[in-house]
Amino acid sequence: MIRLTDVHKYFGKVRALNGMSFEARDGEITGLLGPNGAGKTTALRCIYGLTRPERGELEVDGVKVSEDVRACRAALGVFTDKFGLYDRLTAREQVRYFAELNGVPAAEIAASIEELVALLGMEEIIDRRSAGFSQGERMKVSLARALIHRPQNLVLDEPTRGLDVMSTRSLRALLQELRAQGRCVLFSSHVMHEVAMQCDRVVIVREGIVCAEGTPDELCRRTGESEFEDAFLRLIGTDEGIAA
Amino acid sequence: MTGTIATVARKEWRDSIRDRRSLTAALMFAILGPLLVAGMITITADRETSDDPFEVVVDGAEYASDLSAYLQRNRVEFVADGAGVALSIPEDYAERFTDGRSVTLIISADRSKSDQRREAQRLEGLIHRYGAELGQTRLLLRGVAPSVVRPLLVEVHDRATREGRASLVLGILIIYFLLAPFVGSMAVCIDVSAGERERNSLEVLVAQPVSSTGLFAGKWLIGTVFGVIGVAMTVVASKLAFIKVPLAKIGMSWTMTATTMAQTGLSLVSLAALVAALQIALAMWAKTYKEASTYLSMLSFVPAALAAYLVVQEVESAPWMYLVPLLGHQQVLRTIIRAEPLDPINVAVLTIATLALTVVLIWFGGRLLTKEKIVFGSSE
Repeated sequence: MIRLTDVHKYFGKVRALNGMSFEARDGEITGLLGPNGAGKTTALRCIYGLTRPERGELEVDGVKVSEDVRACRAALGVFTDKFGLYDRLTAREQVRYFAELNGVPAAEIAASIEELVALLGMEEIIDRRSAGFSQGERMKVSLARALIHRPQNLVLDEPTRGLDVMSTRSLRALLQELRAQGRCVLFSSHVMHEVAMQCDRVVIVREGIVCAEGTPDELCRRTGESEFEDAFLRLIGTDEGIAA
Repeated sequence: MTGTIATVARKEWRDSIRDRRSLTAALMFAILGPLLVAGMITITADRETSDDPFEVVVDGAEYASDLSAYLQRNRVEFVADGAGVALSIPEDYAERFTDGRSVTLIISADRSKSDQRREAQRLEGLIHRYGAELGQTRLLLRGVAPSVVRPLLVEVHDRATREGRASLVLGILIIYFLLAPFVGSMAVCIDVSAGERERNSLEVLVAQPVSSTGLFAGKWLIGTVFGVIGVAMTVVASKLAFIKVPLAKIGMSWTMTATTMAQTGLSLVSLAALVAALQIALAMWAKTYKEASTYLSMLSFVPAALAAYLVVQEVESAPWMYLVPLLGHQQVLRTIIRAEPLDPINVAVLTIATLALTVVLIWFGGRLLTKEKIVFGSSE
């Protein structure tokens, strides 16, 4: 579970987060939806403690990020928007590296990797060096290294950006699987369609603050629109920086 | 934290040794320095200094035994034939000499060759001096003071000595030793910092539940290892490069013994540690990969400039110098290479000062990894 309470973050005069509050629950997929520049990436960076907010509190599984950032990070799997890999290492070596950094016992690493290889369909690429991997293959390695320590929470920043249809589908299947396991999945997106299809709950953000949250159906009902797209546009009051 | 350091170091080592091209480039440079110095010596060794004997092809030496004896006393070696400077003495030398008439001697030399030009000049100078002495004797015999006809006297002394040349050569060699840790680890230091950021993996790395000082220290450890490899390569290259160099020809008796090699290598380990920490921190602090390369290239001018200054100015050694890394290392190397006794206290002071500064830099580097501006670089 991830909870933000009245989080403020300023970059100079720019108010990236302006009192953002929301909750991502266990066993649910929560979508953080908003136009570009709404503060989605900043909010996620605050969760894993790379960005320190001026004000407000963030919690991961009840632990405050400001009090024990390492415990919070241990309970998080992080998937950033630009998934950089080490091109000279094989996929297995990279995943092992993150397992070791997370303190996964040496005896369990090999088995955990095999599990993820099966789950993500990485049999072909696991022992290849990642130079020359396609975007879809890179995504799989990034997901594997985010999940290798079996975190309760998975945070993804614009995970489908640049992915082909097949990769998007396998990502979707994985997220559903994690949800079924009772884990908390939080991802940001500016693609309405994707969020409407996959998420149990949607948090709509605009200018650093939450302007609506609920299930896609609830949001439609609240705005009196039959389509989620129309509901969303009505809620944020603009269609700037949004993809259908 | 030790676990993190070991994990990061293992990964960075594997990653770096697979980067063959930049590795080869760095190591090539390490070999290049000593080879260059060895080459310089080989070329200059063939040049003589003013007190070296030199050969002259003399034709008609038997006509002028006095002159011949004078020249031979002044280190001219007479040879029967050859392509070098030649002196021809006419048959009527003795006859004209007794009559008090001038004799024309012919020096022939290829003046486009600097060796022959110099030898011809020396020969001419010797003959002039001999002639002047004779003239003075004749004037004295006729009751005239020689200074009457020679109001001005000029003497030119060539001060180029073998010792001077040798200390210059060793000074240049020291520059390459001091440069080795910089050059050996430069590529790796940029790769693990600015490179990792440029490839977008730094953000995920620092989001792991580990201490940022541990992350930095793991990277630093591998930077240090590569610095030490650079030093080792330079030391071995010096040994190999100097095997064939005719050091004796320029009056140097210096040899790179196993002890010299070991002492040189060990004394530079602390410098390698400091340089790795400094280079990684600086590359991390730079906004981009390119900027990092520029900064580190500029940084490597520091040891070169410092050592060159010390060689040229012949700065006297002082105890405080051992408190300053790099300057102290230069002093230690000079002592080792001149085979003078090494003061263990000086070495201990230098090592402690250097490692203390390294620890501060590692701490500082760990702090850098918690800063948003550093982790996300210029893209944000």
